[in-house]
Formats: sequence, C-alpha cells, structure tokens
Amino acid sequence: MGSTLSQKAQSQYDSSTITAAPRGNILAPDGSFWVLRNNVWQITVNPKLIKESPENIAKKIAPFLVDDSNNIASVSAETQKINNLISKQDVSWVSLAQKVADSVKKNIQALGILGIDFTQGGGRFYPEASAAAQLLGFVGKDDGGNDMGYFGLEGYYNLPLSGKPGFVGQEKDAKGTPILLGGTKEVTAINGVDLTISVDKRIQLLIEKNLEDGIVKYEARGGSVTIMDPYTGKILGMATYPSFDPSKYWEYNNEVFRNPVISDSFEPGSVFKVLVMAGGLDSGAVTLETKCDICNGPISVDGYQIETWNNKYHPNSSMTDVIVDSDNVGMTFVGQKMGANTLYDYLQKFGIGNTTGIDLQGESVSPLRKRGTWSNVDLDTTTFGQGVAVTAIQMVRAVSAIANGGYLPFPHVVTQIQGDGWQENVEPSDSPRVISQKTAEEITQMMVDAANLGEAKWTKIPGFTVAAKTGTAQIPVAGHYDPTNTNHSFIGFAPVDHPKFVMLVMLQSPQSSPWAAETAAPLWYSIAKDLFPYMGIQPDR
Amino acid sequence: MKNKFNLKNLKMYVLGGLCGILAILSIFMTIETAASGAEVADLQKKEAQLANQQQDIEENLVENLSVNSLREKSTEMGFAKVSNLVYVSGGVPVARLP
Repeated sequence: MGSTLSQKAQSQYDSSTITAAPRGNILAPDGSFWVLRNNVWQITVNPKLIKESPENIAKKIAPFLVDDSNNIASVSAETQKINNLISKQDVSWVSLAQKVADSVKKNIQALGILGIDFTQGGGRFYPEASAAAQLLGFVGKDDGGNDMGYFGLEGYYNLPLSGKPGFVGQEKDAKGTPILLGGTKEVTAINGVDLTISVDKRIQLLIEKNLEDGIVKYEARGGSVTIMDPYTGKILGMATYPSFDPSKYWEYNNEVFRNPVISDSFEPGSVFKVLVMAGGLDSGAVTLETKCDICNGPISVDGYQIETWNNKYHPNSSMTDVIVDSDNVGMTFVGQKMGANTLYDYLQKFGIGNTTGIDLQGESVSPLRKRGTWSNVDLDTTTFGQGVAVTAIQMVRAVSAIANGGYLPFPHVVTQIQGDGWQENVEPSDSPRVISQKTAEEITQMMVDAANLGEAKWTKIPGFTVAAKTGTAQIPVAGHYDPTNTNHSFIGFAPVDHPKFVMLVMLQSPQSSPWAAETAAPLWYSIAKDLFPYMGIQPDR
Repeated sequence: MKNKFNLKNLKMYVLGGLCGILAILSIFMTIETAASGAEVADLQKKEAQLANQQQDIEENLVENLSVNSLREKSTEMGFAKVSNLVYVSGGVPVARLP
C-alpha cells in the first residue's frame, strides 16, 4: 500500500520534457544565410475552455492567418474553417494553424482569447524567397509528425541538420515549480550542424532572373542553368524553371520539387559531340590532321539515313570543321574510327551512365547500353548525342574535364560543416584523369572555334574568348522523335586558359526558334556578360 | 546531586534548543528552496524569452540584409545596373607623373 502511494506521489512530482534540437542553418560562401531557422508556432484551442462564441473567435483570428487580409473571400473561407474547428464539442484539443510566424502569434495573443494556446516549433526562413528552391529542398513532416528534410540539401543532409533532441527530467511541485532538492536527469540536445555551401547568392539570383526572362522570350516550357567551378567541382549556381516557394511547399505539385539538373535525363544532341571527339583524339583514333572521307553526303547505316542538321555537306572536313559545323556525318566517321567499345570506355571515363555523387537528394541517371551490345546504329547515333541520355550535371562535369586539362571533378555543394565549437571543410576526392592535357587543349581550341565560327557566333561577346558548343536535340516520345519540339542547350567555359566556370544552359521545347544558336546560346552569353565582371574575368583580345 | 540535576537539565535545554534551531532552519530552508525553485523557473522562462527575441532580431536582420531586399532598396535610392561596361587597356597610362 505504502509503496503504491509512494509511486503515485512520485509520478505527480516527476516532470519530463523533450528539449528540441534546433535544425541547422544553410549559409552562403560570404556567411549570409540561404536558410535560417526561426521561431514558428502552432495555434491550438480547447473548445471546452472558450468563453466566446466560436463564430466571434473565428472572425477575430482569421484575418491574421491569411496571406492578404484585404481579400474578403480568403478571410471568409478561413473564418468558416476556424469556426468549424472550434465548434467541435467532443474534443479538448484542436489545431487551428501550424508554422505561424512570431509576429502573427503576438497579434493573436494580444486578443486575450481564453482557451487559445501556442506551442513553439522550429521553422525555416528563406531570406531570398524562392531562390535556389530545388537545390535547397524543404522541411516537411514525416509519418510521425516530426520535421524532415525533403529533396536537395535538406533531404541529403537531413540527419546532420536535424541534430538530436535532449531530455530533462525534474521533480516539480503542484504549481509546476522545480523542486531544487529533488532529482534532475538531463541529456543535452545536440544542435543540428550548419552547412556552408558554394552557391553564390549573386550568381544564383543573376541566373534565375536571366533564366526566367529567357523562358518568356524564347517561349520555352522550362529550363535550367548550371554553373560549376571546373577545377574544384563546386556548384556556383543552379537555377531551374519552374520552381517553387519552399516556405509554402504544400501549395505546389510534387513534380516541381524534383531538381531536373540532377534527376532528369535528356538526349543531349550536339553538345555531346565534344566528349566523343575528345575520346577520339585521346585514343588516337583521329588527330587534328585527320580528314573525314565520308563527309561528302548523307550515309546509310543498317537502313537508317544519317544526315547533317542543315543538309549541307563538307567533303574532307578536318576534325575541327566537324565540331564547328556540328557535322553528324563527321561524328559518325569519328565513332567508326573509335569503335563501340572504345567509345563506351571514354563515355564511362567521363562519368556518363553513372551518378556524379553530388550531395543533393534525388540524383538519378540513365545507364549506358551494356558494353559489347552496341549495334552500328547505336554507335553512330551516340556520336552526335542521340540514343543516349544524360543529366545536366553529368554534362557539366564531363565538360569540366575538358576545361581543367583532363581531370573529372566531383560536383558538390557543401564546402564546410559547422557544429558547436567545431568546423570541418568538405574536401572532395582526387579527380581522376580522363584525357591527356594535350587532348584537353585540342578539344578546347575546337570549342573556341565553334563559338567563334559556328552558328552561335552572332551572339558572342566581343573581346572575350570562350569555348562553347550548341546542342539542338530531338525529343524521344513513345518510340519516335517529336516532330515539332526540340530541346536546346549551350555549354561553355571561360576564360579559356584557366576557366573560372563551366556553364550549361538548357531550354525545354522553345517555340521562338528551332535552333539552340538562337535561344540557349544568347541566353548563355547574356548571363556570361554579367558573370565576367563579377568574377573578375577581363577581355583577352 | 543538585549539580548533576542542573547538568542534566542544561543538556536537555541545549538539545531542545538545537532541535528548535534545526527545525526553524529546516523551515527556512524549505521556504528558501521553494522560492529559489520559483526563481529558477522564472529565470528559465526569461532565458527562453530572450532566446526567442534574439531569434526574432536575427531573422529581422537577415531579412533586411537579403540580396533581394538590398536590390529593391538600391533601386528605390536610384542606383542602376551598369548597362555598358567599358574596359580600359592596361597599357594606357591614366595619369602621367610630372
């Protein structure tokens, strides 16, 4: 009897509280915030404690819980919703709103309504609004109602960002005051770590603005811009369209959360030619002096006709001409000289068919056809970027190997992790060599010539030498190619002697022109025009 | 005999007195700890309030210093983006020494 009473008494004294571990922040290279943790509140009501009519309370609270309190329709809908919730008689706890900002909570608290209570929680504040949304990801709830990061950085680094909640067990008196002589058990909460990322705010906002303008101007369905440091693999900017607002992620369809730069594979078309040509030069299958002896007209392979994009043919083209003219027949010549297995090996070396390992949640790639199973048509079409699928990040990574002299970098976003009293730099693994320095220089010069003499020459910036290549790719739809739509891309780097960035511009189904030289290329240059002074790149001629 | 009685009485008085003092001290201690418990609870509440305020100030600061916000303010103040950048060749002297 005594022990039972003692246990009951003890259970009345004992009070245990879970101490939350604040989620880590995400910072830009300059120390400013991409994502800041903030205070948000859950508003609850006990319908049994309220003294006013549910309708009155709903009318008082609703204007604070809508985006625009002048919008009569939304205020009215919110009032109705709250009224229904408070009118429930058989419950003693109803949640009215979640993730409510501190200022809103203070306004509602000032109304002094009995029965309304506030519970503190952790929120995310995005100072640059929806910028870099797909790269950052968002924080939602898991099945147990706990915070969980989804997509991008929030998803990939969910565990270290979350930290570990703590626990405080204390004896308290009837009023809830701690009894100092009573026992205390405490497990300290471990705060989530802060992440510093390589994405520069000014570059990110610049490319997002330009991409949005480009989408409108060229009447495209969507698009992306990816910028990477070719030596370190640091992502300097990654913009996608359409995008979403991570602070209101529930208002968007799930499709928009995927980051197309790392998740969506596409047939690259002519931008792929530089990788195949690099393999051809590096393997010795072709040299700068090699002449294409099948370039005088279309060729037939296993019943398929391979033509140039403009039906113009250049007999005895040099390998540089093949790239400058973006000659499909010339590329078929290179592929046939290399053979399927050699081409496969070089594509593997360039990382095609494999994930890049970028530290963002949701990377997925299409595998290459198995080595040794390629038909002649497979070999030939792959040389000009058809019948093969890549992601934008794979393409940027592979071209970075050309830009930096032959090493394949590991793309990454996080550069430093900071905890309480410690910090650690994130160092990617050593980049493996893919092609020789000589090959990298040769293919770079071909890309310089392509930028200066190719179809996109009209849009280049005077005084600056860039290495670049256009790509206009047909879109495979249910076993055939879409006759009306094409995907446009333009990839390039600058300055040529020691590149500070590699940039890929992708546009989905632009309607203003069928050619990338008239859409993706001018968009690339309009971004580069602002990037040059910002990155300290001077004219070289 | 009388001395023995006095000594016994004295011991009892001292013991009684000590017990009394201890009892009073115990009551004081209980009151003091209860008051301190309330004080600790109050301090914990204030600490939480200060942490909230600090978080609010930080959020306010971050919001006002965001690139988007600075861009808006600079436009309001009449700053404009350079539209025609002119590069000056490094070989051209800007000012000659006398």
